[in-house]
Amino acid sequence: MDGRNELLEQIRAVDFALIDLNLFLDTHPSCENALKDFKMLAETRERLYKQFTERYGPLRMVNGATDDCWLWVNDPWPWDTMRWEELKGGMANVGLRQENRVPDQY
Amino acid sequence: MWVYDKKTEYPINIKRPDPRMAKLILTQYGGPNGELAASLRYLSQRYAMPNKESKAILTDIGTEELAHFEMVGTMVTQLVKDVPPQELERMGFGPVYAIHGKGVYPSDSNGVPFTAAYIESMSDPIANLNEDLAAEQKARATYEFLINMADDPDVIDPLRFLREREIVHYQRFGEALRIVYEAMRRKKMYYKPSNVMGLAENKDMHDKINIMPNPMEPNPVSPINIHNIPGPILPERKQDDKKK
Amino acid sequence: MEKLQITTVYTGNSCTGDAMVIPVMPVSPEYATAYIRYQIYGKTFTPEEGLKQGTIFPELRDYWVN
Repeated sequence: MDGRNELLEQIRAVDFALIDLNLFLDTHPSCENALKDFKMLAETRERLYKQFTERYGPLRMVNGATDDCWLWVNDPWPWDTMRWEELKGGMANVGLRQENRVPDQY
Repeated sequence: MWVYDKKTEYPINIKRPDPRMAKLILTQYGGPNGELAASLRYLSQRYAMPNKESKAILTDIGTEELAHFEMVGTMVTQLVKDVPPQELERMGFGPVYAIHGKGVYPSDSNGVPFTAAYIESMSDPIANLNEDLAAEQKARATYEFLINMADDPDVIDPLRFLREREIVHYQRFGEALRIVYEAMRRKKMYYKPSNVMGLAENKDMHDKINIMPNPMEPNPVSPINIHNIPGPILPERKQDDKKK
Repeated sequence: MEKLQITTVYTGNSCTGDAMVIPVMPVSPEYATAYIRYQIYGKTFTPEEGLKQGTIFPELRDYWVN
């Protein structure tokens, strides 16, 4: 599912813009234009993150729980190189909605 | 406290292992100009900073340096992934592998373990911020050296990103330094010897106000005394009275 | 005469009240003091482009060729 990578890259880009603006605003706390851009980006980030978490599991620990599973521990972790498709069955799929589970071969 | 985002700040996906680069890049993990040193330095210095902007910028940049620490560790581990030990040794990673296997250990690229001797944290904001400015330049230069030795775009891209971040951090620390100086300037009540124009009116003021010499001018020569016009008597200054 | 570009930093915990006005570069610099030019907010890259470039601020972009 390339959808995961695409969405993750979008979140990464918006998160990065937020970080850079965060540093700017730390030394320019009253800059209105920067504040406006920051709030807009924060909203976009929330929206994208909600989409991601619903389909691919949590990126922050507060979203780590479902009714039957602690998804926070799941792969991939940031340094892993496995692809989402390789995580067939098992822990990676438990807790996700049926349509988002990678089909089992067995 | 810290919240962890389960992703690297910049995408890292190294498809071709390179133990030679892994050993070299390790210096940015636990070396003198590396990300661990940077984050510990900034996160330690923030407690003694006098104004809110400095506390914020040191915290936020320190946090971002932790994210970079993760990026460098990710690069190292991906660069030695699935490489047989003989190949590791052939490419120069042997000494590291002998001690740590393929584990990522905070040391520089010579194997010297990380030490807090790489950092300083004082209760003097000007000393702290100037050290931070120097640290960012050292990190930038080190990334340039590493990029000079790299050949894989999957490796060069994250290194270029990290290099650019150091430049942005330098700018922010510079601005924090401006704020510190500005706050200091407002607090300092120094009184310059009045010039000839306002002398008559200010004579009363002179007698009442404590004349504190401007510490930036160690031996102020009042312009009015050049022409031998009677003026306020400046406090006696010893010959070896050095500013600093 | 060109308008002096400044940033206003407020002492205290709000964006009103006692202000410190910081010029882009000081009008009369002191000795033994380092000054970094204060950035003024202008255009930014898009988030995607910013991530690739390493910063969202074009003026902070340092083009280096190895």
